[in-house]
Amino acid sequence: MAKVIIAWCTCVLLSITLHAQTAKVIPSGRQLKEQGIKMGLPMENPMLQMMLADSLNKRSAIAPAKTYLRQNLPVVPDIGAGKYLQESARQEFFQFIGNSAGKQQLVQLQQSMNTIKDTARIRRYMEDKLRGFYALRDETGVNKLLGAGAYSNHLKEANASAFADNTPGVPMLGTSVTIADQLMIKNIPVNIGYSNISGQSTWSNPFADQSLVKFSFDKAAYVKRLNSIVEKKYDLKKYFLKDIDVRSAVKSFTRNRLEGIQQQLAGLGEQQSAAFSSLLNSDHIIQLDSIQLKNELLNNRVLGITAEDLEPAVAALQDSILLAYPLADSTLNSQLQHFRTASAARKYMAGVFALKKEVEEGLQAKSIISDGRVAEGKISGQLEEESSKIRNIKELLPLNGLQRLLLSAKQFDIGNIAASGSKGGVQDLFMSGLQTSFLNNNKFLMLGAGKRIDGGTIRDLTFNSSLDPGAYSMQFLQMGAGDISQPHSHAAVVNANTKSDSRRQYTTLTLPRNTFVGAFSEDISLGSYGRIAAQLSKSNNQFKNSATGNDPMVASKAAALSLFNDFWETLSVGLDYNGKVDEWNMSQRAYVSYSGLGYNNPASPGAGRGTIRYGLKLKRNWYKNKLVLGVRSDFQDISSSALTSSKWKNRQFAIDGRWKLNKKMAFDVRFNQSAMKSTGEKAASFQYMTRQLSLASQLQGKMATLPYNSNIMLGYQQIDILPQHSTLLNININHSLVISSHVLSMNLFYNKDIKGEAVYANLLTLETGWTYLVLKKISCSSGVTYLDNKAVVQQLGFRQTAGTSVLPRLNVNMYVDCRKNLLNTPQNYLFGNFRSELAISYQLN
Amino acid sequence: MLKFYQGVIFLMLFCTVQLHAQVTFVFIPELHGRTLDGLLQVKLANTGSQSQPVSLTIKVSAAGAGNIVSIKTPAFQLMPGTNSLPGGLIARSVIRFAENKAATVCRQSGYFTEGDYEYCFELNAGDQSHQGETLGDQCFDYYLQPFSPLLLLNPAEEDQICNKRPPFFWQPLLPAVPGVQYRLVLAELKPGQAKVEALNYNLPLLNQFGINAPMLFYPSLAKDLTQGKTYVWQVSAYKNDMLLVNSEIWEFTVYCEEESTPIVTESFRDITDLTKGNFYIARGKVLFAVDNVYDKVPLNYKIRCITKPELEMRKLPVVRLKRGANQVVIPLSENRSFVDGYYYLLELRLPNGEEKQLRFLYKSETE
Repeated sequence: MAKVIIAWCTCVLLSITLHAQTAKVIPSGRQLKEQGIKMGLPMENPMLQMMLADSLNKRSAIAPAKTYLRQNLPVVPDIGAGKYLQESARQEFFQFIGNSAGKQQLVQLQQSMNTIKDTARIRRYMEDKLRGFYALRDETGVNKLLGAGAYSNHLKEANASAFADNTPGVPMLGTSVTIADQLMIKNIPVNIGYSNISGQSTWSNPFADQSLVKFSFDKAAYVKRLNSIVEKKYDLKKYFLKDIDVRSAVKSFTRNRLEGIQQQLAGLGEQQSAAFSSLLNSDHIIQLDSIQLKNELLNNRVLGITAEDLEPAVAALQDSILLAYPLADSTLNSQLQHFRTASAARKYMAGVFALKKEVEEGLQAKSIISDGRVAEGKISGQLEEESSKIRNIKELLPLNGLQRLLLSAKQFDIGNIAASGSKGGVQDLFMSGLQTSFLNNNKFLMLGAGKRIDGGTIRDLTFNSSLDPGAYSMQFLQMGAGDISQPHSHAAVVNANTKSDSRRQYTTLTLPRNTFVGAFSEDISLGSYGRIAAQLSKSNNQFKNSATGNDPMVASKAAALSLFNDFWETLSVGLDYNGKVDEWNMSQRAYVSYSGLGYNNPASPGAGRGTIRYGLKLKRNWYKNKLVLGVRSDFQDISSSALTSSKWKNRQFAIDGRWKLNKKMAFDVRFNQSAMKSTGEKAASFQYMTRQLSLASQLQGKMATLPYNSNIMLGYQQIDILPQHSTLLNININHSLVISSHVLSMNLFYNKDIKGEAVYANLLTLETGWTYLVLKKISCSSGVTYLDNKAVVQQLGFRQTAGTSVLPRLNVNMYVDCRKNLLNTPQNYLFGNFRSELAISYQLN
Repeated sequence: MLKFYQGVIFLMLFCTVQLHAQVTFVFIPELHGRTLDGLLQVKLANTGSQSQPVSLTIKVSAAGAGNIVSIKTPAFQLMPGTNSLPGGLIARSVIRFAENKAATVCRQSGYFTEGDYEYCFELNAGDQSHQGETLGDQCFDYYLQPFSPLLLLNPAEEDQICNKRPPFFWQPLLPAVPGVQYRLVLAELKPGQAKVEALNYNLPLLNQFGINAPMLFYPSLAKDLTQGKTYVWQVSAYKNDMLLVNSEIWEFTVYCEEESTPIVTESFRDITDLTKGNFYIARGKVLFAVDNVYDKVPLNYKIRCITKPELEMRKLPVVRLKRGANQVVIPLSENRSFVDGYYYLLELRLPNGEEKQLRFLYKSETE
């Protein structure tokens, strides 16, 4: 069975990869658009160049006379719009390059013009710079703008809190300080997260503390900061020449020339003149080809021109007749009139064809008019996209190497960080180290290295060893096409070595080994139907000083060298489909995965071994979310033996529904069942089974004239942990009543073990609260609490909270729950009778 | 049957047999027999009074598969009393795996699979004079069944719940090993944090050890969870001071819908201006401002449907006017007489006797 599923998985994976490859050959609309953007604006168009240069010439003429440095300014090459620039504008232009890109660049430009005669590159450079010059808004040196606020710091959030608790099995004291800060170093924003947690447990350990810190590059803030400088210095609409109306400029040019041609026609009757002037317009010249233009002429009834009239032989004959009869001749009058018209038409057409050629080849009128980028609204929309912002920043700001690199970086985290890549590679890994990822031209690269230690943290002070080897040093890499959160195809590798290490009381004594994981992940978009993610991962493990079988040589090999050893045992594959059907208001997920019994990925602590898992999730809503129904199931077969078919079989099933009658009434129903069964030679029985049904209502209403909120939950649960069978019935009522500006709240929870097999003895808790304001500033609540865990513990006490804003953004909150034990027994392992908390928080927002 | 196993386990736990030599081995197969690394957790109790160089050989075999693995340590100094294996020694040990499926899985994962195992420890003298002399040897038998994963149940992953004191349920760690307890950690997940970061960076709201059953009702002493916040939780199974298995980290959000009081963001225009405009879109409700110079009084109004005059109007909500400026809200979304896209006419008679008419288009609120 397992092999069939694996084979199926592999087939599907292969077919998906194949599909993805073929899909890549045909670029999508989005890709085409991106290519369009990359090609740049239609600066080659002479009309555009002329207009741009014209505008710059005018600007420099208007500007007050300035004295320019005449030293060593390079000559603007006579290419592109450069050839239309007047001297003063040229001077200003080079002044601009010097200011914005640095004097060094001017020297380089001069050199490259002298040595390389690569006009295409220089042309492109000049065009970009010219557009920048054209769009210049603020003449302040860019370095001055970059310098203002390049180093700054602002505290985003700071919290301090402390608690004391005497519940058995809970740390007795704990304090915590967390700080979130943003530091700007040379325009690079770095977020700093710091946390210090300290505490002490009653049961063993002395007072201990733990500090964690994380530095992360804030990409969004970086782009925002640089973009604001770009926008301060340049008018981006002008940069994209959005203010130049090329379309109407081309049209008016064509119209003027056409009128000139018409005026040159002489000796025609009034009727014919009128016919010629209305024969063609600028759109005809731009859009129609020469045959269509000719047809326009031939179809004009007033002119009455025939195809023969345009034949060269006929034309020559007609012209010679016209020469022979320069004056009107009554007998031939109508004939001569026709010849004159035909002659005019030939001249006219020759003029039109010349104009057509000029407009088409010289001005590229048709392409610029149909160019979507010139069309209304397109450019301003793109300005908002991050990729366009990054491109503008790269083109317009003089950045150093690191600043440039960071524009392609997605993430740069260093410190105690959570590292994550695609499934099968690195996932949910907490380590001290660094992780960075880049995305450039749709190519993705992620790199990381760090150390994972599973114990010795402040919350795990109790543990001094673990079943898993708890410490690794590792390096990982993931790369491929596409962003990780978007459809992509990536390959990843992880190399890990166990470490015999210790942190506080936690020590790992492990046999040294090297583990290598190679993985592929393919994420494919199914358009509106959702996404499908496929992953294939293979691990290999090599113990140091080890040998297999009768091999006399004891060796310490690198695991990467024999990655394909024990193939099926150390393979993990998975398919995960997530989708939506909007018409049905439905979302769905289906997944299937297999991992071999020897699969071992230290970079993905949650990855299972020897597991075949499949499941389904469906959620649908009706009547604008008033009725929501969800179903989910999860099946896992976890192999436990390499020799027999023994396994753990886990079956989970859940259904939940929510009915929102109106704004004041909503009902929930949930049912779930899960069972773990062991199959095999030694044991074949249900080891664990639970069924849970819960009903809940949320009501809002008025009691007399007082508004109230009421949540009621009823639960029925069957739990079989062999040999115990328990049935629990529980009720939770949460009721609050608003009395003028006060709230009276009551919370009742009661759990009864019907069968009395005491998985959890009968428990009653009752809490009340009354909120009020003291000294107009401090909001408080006071209440009475009661707890009864049958024959174990019985308590009565009070609870008090108080909170206030000492300063704007600075809040202080206090909480105390204090109880008297009316009954306490040695069986009490969960209920303390004192807890207090104090929290101070400063928040920028 | 289970009792039989418990009995066997009990015997193994407490009966470390005194052998002919001075050295006995303390080894708990149900914990340390599960992994290759666990074998090195064996403790050597030396009843002699002298220290001497020794080396340890560990051999593991399983019924049906034969030999699985053997580990031989280099020589080390055995001290009087209880000895743990020194860390540096472990790094230099030599491991030999057999060639069978169970050994392959062990070589790849470091875990032993299900089977009837025999773990044999042999301690030999490491000095020149007593080369190879056996100082102690001992075997332990144990039927090993690997642990099931520790699976969380409720609150379900990424669920949204209204209960601010939710109970937590998970599946027990199987097979049941006496003395296994659970620990539950609950921490807030701050925006932008990864789940593992939340567990490490934030002070846990709950960090309850010593839970015997696979469930925990929200502790009575703890503060309520906060509306709108997201939390992460994880359960660990442990025995004494040894961490056995961690569950996945799940998250849930506390959100009760009815608590959000509807905030009226639209402005209130004077009824006189509104009626002049003759076109008004009512999104779920009609809003207007009106001055009342008289005493408190219910607003006298009625609504007719223009699109479908025969449409029967259900009971309209009672609106009270107070003295002075009033911002009137007539909620219509709960009334089924109002149909999206229909035109209606609101006729009202103000306390000063003035009559107003407002034509409006009804649009149901978007959820």
